[in-house]
Amino acid sequence: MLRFRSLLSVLLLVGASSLHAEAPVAFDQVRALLETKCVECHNPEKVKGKLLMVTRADFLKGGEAGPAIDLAAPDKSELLRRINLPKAHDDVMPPKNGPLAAAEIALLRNWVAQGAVWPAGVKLAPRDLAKESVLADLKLKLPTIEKLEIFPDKFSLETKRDFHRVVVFATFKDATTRDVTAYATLTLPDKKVADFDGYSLHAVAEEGKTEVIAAIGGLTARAPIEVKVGLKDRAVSFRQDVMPVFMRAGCNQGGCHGAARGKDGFRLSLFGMDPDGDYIRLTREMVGRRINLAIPEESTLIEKCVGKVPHSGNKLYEADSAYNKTILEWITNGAKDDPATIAKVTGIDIYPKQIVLEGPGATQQISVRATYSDGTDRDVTSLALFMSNNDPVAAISKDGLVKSADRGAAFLLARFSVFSITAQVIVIPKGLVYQRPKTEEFNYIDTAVNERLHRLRITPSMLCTDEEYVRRVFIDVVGIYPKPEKITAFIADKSPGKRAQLVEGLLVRKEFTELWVMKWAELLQIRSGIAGNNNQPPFYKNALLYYNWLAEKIGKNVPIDKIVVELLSASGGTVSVPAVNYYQSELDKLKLSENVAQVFMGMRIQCAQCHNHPFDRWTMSDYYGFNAFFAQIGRKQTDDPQEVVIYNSKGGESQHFLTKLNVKPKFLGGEEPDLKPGDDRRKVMAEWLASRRNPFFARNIANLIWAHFLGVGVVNPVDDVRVSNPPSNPELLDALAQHLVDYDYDVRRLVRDITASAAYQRSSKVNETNADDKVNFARSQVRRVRAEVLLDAISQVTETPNKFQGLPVGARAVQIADGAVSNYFLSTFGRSSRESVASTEVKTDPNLSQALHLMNGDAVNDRIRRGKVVQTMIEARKTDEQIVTELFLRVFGRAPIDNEMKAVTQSIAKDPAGRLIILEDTFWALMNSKEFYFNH
Amino acid sequence: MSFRLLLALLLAPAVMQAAYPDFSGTKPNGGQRGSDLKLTLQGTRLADFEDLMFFSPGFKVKSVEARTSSAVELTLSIASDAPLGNQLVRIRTKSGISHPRQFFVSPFPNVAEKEPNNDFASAQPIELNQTIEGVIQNEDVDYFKLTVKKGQRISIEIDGLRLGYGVFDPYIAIIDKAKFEKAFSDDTILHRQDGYCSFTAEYDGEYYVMVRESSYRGSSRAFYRLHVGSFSRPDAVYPAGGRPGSKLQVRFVDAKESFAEEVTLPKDNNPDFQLYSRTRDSAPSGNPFRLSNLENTLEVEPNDTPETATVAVPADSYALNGIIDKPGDVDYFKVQLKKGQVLDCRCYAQAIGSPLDPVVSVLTSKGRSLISNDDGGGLRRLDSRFKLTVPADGEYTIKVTDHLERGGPNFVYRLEMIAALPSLTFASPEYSVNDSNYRQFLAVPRGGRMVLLENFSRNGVSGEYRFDAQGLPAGIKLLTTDAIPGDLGNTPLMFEAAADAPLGQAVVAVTMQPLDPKATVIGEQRQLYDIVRDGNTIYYQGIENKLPFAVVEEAPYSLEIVKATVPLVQNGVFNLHVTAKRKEGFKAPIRVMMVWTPPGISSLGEQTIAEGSNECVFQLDANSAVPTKAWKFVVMGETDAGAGRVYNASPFSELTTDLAFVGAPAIPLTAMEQGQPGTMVTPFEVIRPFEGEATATLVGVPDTFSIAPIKVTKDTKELRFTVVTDDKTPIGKKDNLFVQIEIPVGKGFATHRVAIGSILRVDAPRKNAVVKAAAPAAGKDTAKATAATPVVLSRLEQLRQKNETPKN
Repeated sequence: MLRFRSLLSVLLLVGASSLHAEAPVAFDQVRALLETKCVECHNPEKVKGKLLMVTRADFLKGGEAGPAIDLAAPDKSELLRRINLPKAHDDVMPPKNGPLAAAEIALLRNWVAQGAVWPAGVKLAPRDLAKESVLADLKLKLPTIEKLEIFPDKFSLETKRDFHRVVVFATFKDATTRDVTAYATLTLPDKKVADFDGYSLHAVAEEGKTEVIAAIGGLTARAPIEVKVGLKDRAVSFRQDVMPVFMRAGCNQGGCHGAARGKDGFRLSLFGMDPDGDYIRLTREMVGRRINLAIPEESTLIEKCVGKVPHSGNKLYEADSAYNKTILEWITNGAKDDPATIAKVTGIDIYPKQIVLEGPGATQQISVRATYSDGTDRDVTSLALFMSNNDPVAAISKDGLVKSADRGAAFLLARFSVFSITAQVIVIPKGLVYQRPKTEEFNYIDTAVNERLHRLRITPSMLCTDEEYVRRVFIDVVGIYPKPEKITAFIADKSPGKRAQLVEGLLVRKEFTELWVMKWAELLQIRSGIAGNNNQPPFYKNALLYYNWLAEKIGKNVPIDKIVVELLSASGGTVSVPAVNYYQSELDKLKLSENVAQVFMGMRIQCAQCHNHPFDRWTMSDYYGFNAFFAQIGRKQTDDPQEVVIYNSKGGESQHFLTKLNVKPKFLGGEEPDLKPGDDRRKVMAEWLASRRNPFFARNIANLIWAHFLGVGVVNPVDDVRVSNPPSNPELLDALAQHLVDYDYDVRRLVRDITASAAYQRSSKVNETNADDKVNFARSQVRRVRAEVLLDAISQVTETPNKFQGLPVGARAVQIADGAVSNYFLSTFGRSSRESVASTEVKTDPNLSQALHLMNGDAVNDRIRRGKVVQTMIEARKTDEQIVTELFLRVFGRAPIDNEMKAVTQSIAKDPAGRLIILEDTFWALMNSKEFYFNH
Repeated sequence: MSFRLLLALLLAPAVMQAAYPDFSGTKPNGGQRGSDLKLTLQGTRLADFEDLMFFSPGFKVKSVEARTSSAVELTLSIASDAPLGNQLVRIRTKSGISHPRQFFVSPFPNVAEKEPNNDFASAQPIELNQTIEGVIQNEDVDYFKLTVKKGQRISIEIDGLRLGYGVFDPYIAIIDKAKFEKAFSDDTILHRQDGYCSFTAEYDGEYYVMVRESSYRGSSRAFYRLHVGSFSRPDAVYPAGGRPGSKLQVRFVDAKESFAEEVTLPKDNNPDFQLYSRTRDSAPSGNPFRLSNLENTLEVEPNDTPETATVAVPADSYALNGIIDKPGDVDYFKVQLKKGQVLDCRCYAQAIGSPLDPVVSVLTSKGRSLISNDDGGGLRRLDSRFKLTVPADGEYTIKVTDHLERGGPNFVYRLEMIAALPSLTFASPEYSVNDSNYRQFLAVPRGGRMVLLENFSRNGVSGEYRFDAQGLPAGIKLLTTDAIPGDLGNTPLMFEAAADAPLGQAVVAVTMQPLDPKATVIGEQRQLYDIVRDGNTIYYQGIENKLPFAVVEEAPYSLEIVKATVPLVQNGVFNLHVTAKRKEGFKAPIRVMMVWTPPGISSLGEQTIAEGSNECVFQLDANSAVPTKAWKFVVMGETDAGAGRVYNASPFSELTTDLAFVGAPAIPLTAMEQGQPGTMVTPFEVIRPFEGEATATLVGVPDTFSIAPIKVTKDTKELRFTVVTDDKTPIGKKDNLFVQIEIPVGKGFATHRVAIGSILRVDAPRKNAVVKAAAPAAGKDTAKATAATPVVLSRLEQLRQKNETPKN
């Protein structure tokens, strides 16, 4: 930048001076201007408008519009005419970033007027200023280079058509990375085997082996190249070549021809999930029009895409682009269908996977490689779709060029065929003065979190105070607010391990179990029928039995994997075997399989019911394969009108929506189990689901637990695990999941780890670096307390017991078994009605009706009166200070600060008769402040 | 106020002081056998209480302490040999009989629940071998405390739902002093929502028994009887059936301790028979046990494969008994069957208290499945039931298994495969929706009658039968004494009480005796009735073979069918006139029910004699195939005159059905133009000559037509109606017309309906009609003849004429 700006100012100065005197123009200035602004498009490689601007003769010869310079009438030179056109004019030069500055125009005018002086033998060459600037910057950085890599790490070239882009990737000592492909010295020892075409390799021999060597900053990287049948051509294939163009160009998107009814009379399958159908629609509908075998260029398919005829989707690519060439070639060859043996894509890879860019404007080329069922691979970077989940941090171009912007982290998604894959980009400020802070590392959680924060150059907040900690763990671990005596005792405790001891004490309390029973009851949708009408199945009794079953399992600390297996493979009556009520919460088998995937694996596979998932790996075959496990659920009535028997009906199949064929049971992301007729498919599925063979289960449960304590999941939302929504800290999630498995799914042990970690113990006070951070656990998130806990807290601090249906007076809202049982307060504050499995059922967003209910409703005011807390303290002859302190401890879990204390005591001093009222008002005010209903 | 009105008011309570008493409950709900019990009956219209009607022996109302309209206090004497369990009881007042309720006989004395007993601290002390009478209010939990010795068995059983106060679903538990639930029971197969469980004390000291509603609900009518004792509480009995009157070795399958016992079965067949242990402390309720004449086949393990199947001794019918004793167990039997046999196969499992959900398959000797049944229903939904038609003589394999592949020592079953046995049963239909007990009794008013409709169910039984009722209360006699032909589907069963009959009662098994001395099958009542029912859901049902009879006070009205003087002919109509005689002051409307109509005759089911009126008419319609015979008709009145329903039936009244005198086919479509006259003609057939002149009327056309009735005699050959239309006559087709002919018979007329399905059509007037063309013709000679007997044009001729119309 610096160089560029100084150059400009020089030019401006020159221009200014030229106005005064016709001093001879310095050719170097003209050269610099032409080389940076013009030659890029007018060189032997790229002769726009048939004009070359390399030698003086080229200018005089001119291009399509005649000579560029007319020495006879310099002012009428095409060059000058073009650069003087208004900005909006079609012919203005340069077309990008034009027109030139006035000084620049003046410079060229003077130069032409002075006879376009040209030192002998000088040939102009294009110059990229940005590149030069990067190069200069790189030179400063190069001494700290630590690692040099070539991506992909090996190349396999098959057929004449095959090519692979080379990406050279440097990692520096400060963990930042750079794309140095353009700056490294690339060599091929044997150019008779393979050669470069730009930065892409292609075969030049039939067979052979060589390697590509990259060198920069004293480091060298090598990647082997293997060429097979390198001279043979390969026919363009409909599935392998043509269909990817449809996807890349967006033809088969939902908003275009991929819509269920197509667009403008032409339909393609959404995201190309049905190549057979697409082939038929292209070749058998409107014969001779969509595809014109006689004059391939006049096929609608060609004309529409290149913008030759009007197209609602506009021009998609150039006529001379590789995309158009592919389709044209396919049509020219007779628009043939592929043989049944055509190789299918088996997976895709993305390179590089971890990128750390410094400052805004840094770039990195991404390369995507697809592997095929015949063992070959191809560079599909130009055919893949790219997306960034965080454009303000790192945007990605259609061609896979990543460009950094703000500080932060982003995930890049590449999609090709039915596969999606991501790479992670971290952007840190340029020239950041950063030294890894000495942060507490209490256990493996901190190792992962701190490493991540270091990579992001974020300094975490300090640890919270004892006051904050005791309140936080009480709310998080047992769902109740600490009583004043607990707080004071904890603060007074001087033992070093007191925080861990506190958690130990809480983990054995029944409230801990109740909290998790409630959370699981939400996920398992424990609820009776329509509220107020309990003749509607599922019946209240069944909901209660189901809840009690769950409560007993969790109470006995049965590992969650065992509970899940028992739950999902249960058969019997809804009264005699309560676990089967799970199957009564959703009778639709498709929705049921979606629910199971969402609750137990955190995945939303709904999309794949009708089309392959656009942002995830799930195909319709995966969907119906998973659904097949639920295809044989039998239900029958019993003598008891409230009871239904769920059993293995041993019959029934899952039918693919598109092919109408029965799909065999297949684990989601796993194998097809070997099933015999009559086997209980649910049992087989349940055993896989909760086993180590299923990579998603443990991670999902660990993430659910983590999200409860930190307010944000490592994958967030917790039930939206997908390729395009990867974990913010994969190492952390892996570590949590691994520990959970090692602990035999003992939630208590994981809770112990989490509450002991520095990540959990951090203060919610932010510093400069972590103020914006929400997902990397650099600070504590301020969270609104959930409805049940808040209502219990109000009941506790005001000493007014609650009464809920079916529970004794004084029972806690957390203990309500049935999702359909609620009250105004709970509904307002977002208690889950358990009507769906979505994590969004529980709402913790603050809203106006909540505030109004606390202020004006009976939730607070009446309870303060009814509970007579202040009155009792006054009767116990406590001083104002004692009362205020106790109220603060009760409500905020902390002692009042001086100002707060003073405000109250002074008011009482002014109006001693109104002492009770003032103190009750204080109580009310405290309960209406955010500090009360937020966990911080 | 007039004197008459005053008199009516004074008389009213005397006339209708109570009828059809409403029996809503008792307090307590049961008592100990061999004791006298203070019992309060609750209901309405009880002021004239007379007695209780039990369906089993052993109960006697010793004294009545108080009677009010809503409650009766009495002392009930329960004999020491009174049957245990729930007993059917009705209230009889001077004027009626109530719906039945249950009364529970327990081996233990009653103890009343005392609130507060809602937590451990306030648990009510009780002792073993007591029955606690309590109630679960909303969210109520009742605790009881008892002191036992280590090793002592604590058994508890609750009657909640069974008491019939509505759907009450109790939950019971035995809890130790550390507050751990050591045993609990919510629902059981044997007693549905009512539970039982047992526990052996682990220490000397206190144990607690807890009762609540399973969802912490309850109500002021959620009554329970909680039995606490050391009794054995079998889930089921194996085998669960035996021959009446035989001695049999059975095993009582008890979760705690099963035991064998030799039992002597009663001689009488009783579909509700319950078996109790005689060697152990018996449970407060028995186990259902099938009394049947089949030879028991008991499974011999191992019989888990067709090869090791237990072979039954060849017979016509089989009773296969076994236990699916472990998960996945499959039991096989081999039976010999004969081609063409139709076997009614029922697997009794849940019906006898077994948790088994049986799946029964019948396989040929080659292993091919003939039939497989999971839930065929019967008394319990999950039990199997199917009909098997045997395709060929030979050996067949029967496979029994659990639908969910469960098993256990109490998974007892009894598969009865019964080749069609001749039988004759009768039962009354449900007279009211969702209330099978409505009017299922015979409360016969003094000097009056009461009647039930009985539907017959014959299985391989034909021939004539006659009702027989022995042991009726004094003064009551059976009126349905005629022989009942073997092809009659139903008949009214009527009884009459003499005017001076003493008020009294009896529970009587009415039978049907064959007229043929060689016939062996006796007809029995098989009345299915609901014991506990909530809307459409029936929780408990019973089968009764006895009817409750009572002589009640004279009804305030009587009915009579006006004697018929003419027959009801085939395809004919008869207006049956019913007259009411009201006692002075009785003015209320009377609902009159046509209790029964013979085959081929239809009628509205009921009519009302309006307030103050004394007559109603039932129109009887006979079809063409009604048998010619003298039938006995009866109607019964029901009146709700402000104090319960009072029944009184008319005496039988004979009405003869006879062949028709005349007949005529339907008049084919006759079309005419609006404003033009037309003629409808059909041949007239005289089947039986009749005297005098009959009137024939075309029925079914609107008043806008003018069709004059015509006179016919036995010599008439055709029916010819002249239809006159004008410009107001609606255009269109009128179908379903018929001709009603009143044939004089004696002093009356036998009404016939002939030419049923005749059709008349009125077309819009033609434009340019040829009225003029017809006019000159009228002046000619031939016109006279035409006028006398107008030519009837067929539809084809009409069309032809229309086409020939000059197109001027």
